[in-house]
Amino acid sequence: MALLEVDDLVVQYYTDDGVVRAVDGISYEIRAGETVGLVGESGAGKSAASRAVLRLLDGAGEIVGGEIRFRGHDILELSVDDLRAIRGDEIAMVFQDAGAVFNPVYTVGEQIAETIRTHKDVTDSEARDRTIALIDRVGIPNPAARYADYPHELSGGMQQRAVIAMALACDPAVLICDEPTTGLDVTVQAGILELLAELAATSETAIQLVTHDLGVVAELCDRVLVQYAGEIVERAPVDDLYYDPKHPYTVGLLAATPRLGDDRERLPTIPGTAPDLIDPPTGCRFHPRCPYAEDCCASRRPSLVDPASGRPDNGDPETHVAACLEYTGDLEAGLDYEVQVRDAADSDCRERKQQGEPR
Amino acid sequence: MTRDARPRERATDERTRTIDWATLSHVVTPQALRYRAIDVGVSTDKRRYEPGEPVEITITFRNRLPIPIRIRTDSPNYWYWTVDGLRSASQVPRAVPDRPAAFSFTRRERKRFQRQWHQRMQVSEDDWQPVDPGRYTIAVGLTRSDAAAHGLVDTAVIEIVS
Repeated sequence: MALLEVDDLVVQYYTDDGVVRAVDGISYEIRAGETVGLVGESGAGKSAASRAVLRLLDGAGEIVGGEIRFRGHDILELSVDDLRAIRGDEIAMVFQDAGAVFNPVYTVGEQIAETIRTHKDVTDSEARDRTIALIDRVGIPNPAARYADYPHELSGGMQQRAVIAMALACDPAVLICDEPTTGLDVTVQAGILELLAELAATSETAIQLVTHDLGVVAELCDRVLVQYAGEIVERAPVDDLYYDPKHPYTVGLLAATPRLGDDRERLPTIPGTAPDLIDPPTGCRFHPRCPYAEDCCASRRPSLVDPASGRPDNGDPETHVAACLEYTGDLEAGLDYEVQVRDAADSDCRERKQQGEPR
Repeated sequence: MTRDARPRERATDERTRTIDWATLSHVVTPQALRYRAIDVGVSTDKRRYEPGEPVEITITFRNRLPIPIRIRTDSPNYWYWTVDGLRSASQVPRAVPDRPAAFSFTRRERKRFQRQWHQRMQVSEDDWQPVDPGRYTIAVGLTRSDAAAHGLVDTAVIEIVS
């Protein structure tokens, strides 16, 4: 059984302008020990989907449909006390703004120790020792001294590491990382990613990594979910997604990823902007920006199907599925893009070309 | 940890030091006046459209009074727009909780929103169908069962020419 199952989740926010359906019927599962990436542009609903797992949506947000099951128990049915017992203990979250996570008037060590004391039956000194070990584990030098530091005394990178230490305090079964490297410089970013990679490799903790950076996903994840305008448009094992993307949005995201040695003067971009989730486009939500869109794309919403067979998603997380009318035989001209795979080791450049074939 | 308690403390301080004019206004303003205070308007960028041409809809809510106004609505989706009676040009109902909420305006506030209708009606969860040429009524109203009786709706008629 999967550790965490999200089934047909719908999250809405209420504004004067109307109802923002930030998450619109997404389903996925995470098994013990695996790392799953949730990628997409800003405003795709990634953070809302992640916060919903712990019922941490802010005031105007609400889960209006679907189920979130952790070890088979529906999180949406849990009492406040039961939920509090899970938060930070079984499922922990690393938020993107580390500076806002800590209370500025308490020391970092004390705040991490408090998490341990809340969930585990330990003495104050045991909690302190464990906190110092955690601070050391996440690579903050001189952990015993740092225990007594206030949040403002740590750099941005150290604050992010301290947030990860707090999230790891109780050895959670699931760690949700919501853009953990946003706002950090690249060297610090690399350090944080290394830390997460080591965590994924050495523990049974499952990681849900929310990011808009496909490079980060390539480095860390086993499987990837691509979210666009509140919906999952492609789901695949990480290699399949990079070597053989099936959804035009994924292709656009990959094309827009900068690479070392790339001789293009300008990076390609996906034309247009992410749609308004109050009044999303009809049919396929990506059609106004899709270079391959045809008339049918505006009037029919594609569901996730196996691109090879055109059969509906069977729910197997290892199956590569994409939501594009091309794979149900509805597009006349098909998709026409090529995927270039550059092997950095021997500079060998292989090329594959995917041509849309009328069915 | 007292982190959660601090904003509450601050809010209490603010409550004791300042007057919440929106609440005070809501308490002292008669209900009939509140309804009359809000002007609901809908307009389109044109009156006649070619088939398939997007219809730009502008919705305006205006508080005519120099005091804050709050109007109760039947759901947190404060207002709706319809095409020939179909909410959001769709036959598929959207899940919005059926609980009261309040649509608030500061003094003389004007709220303006945009919608785009692509001359298609949603007929099922996954399908939209283009409409035929003809006249269509676009309406906007507050989400209240008595909105029409209190003048909290407005309509505009457009024509799709063949």
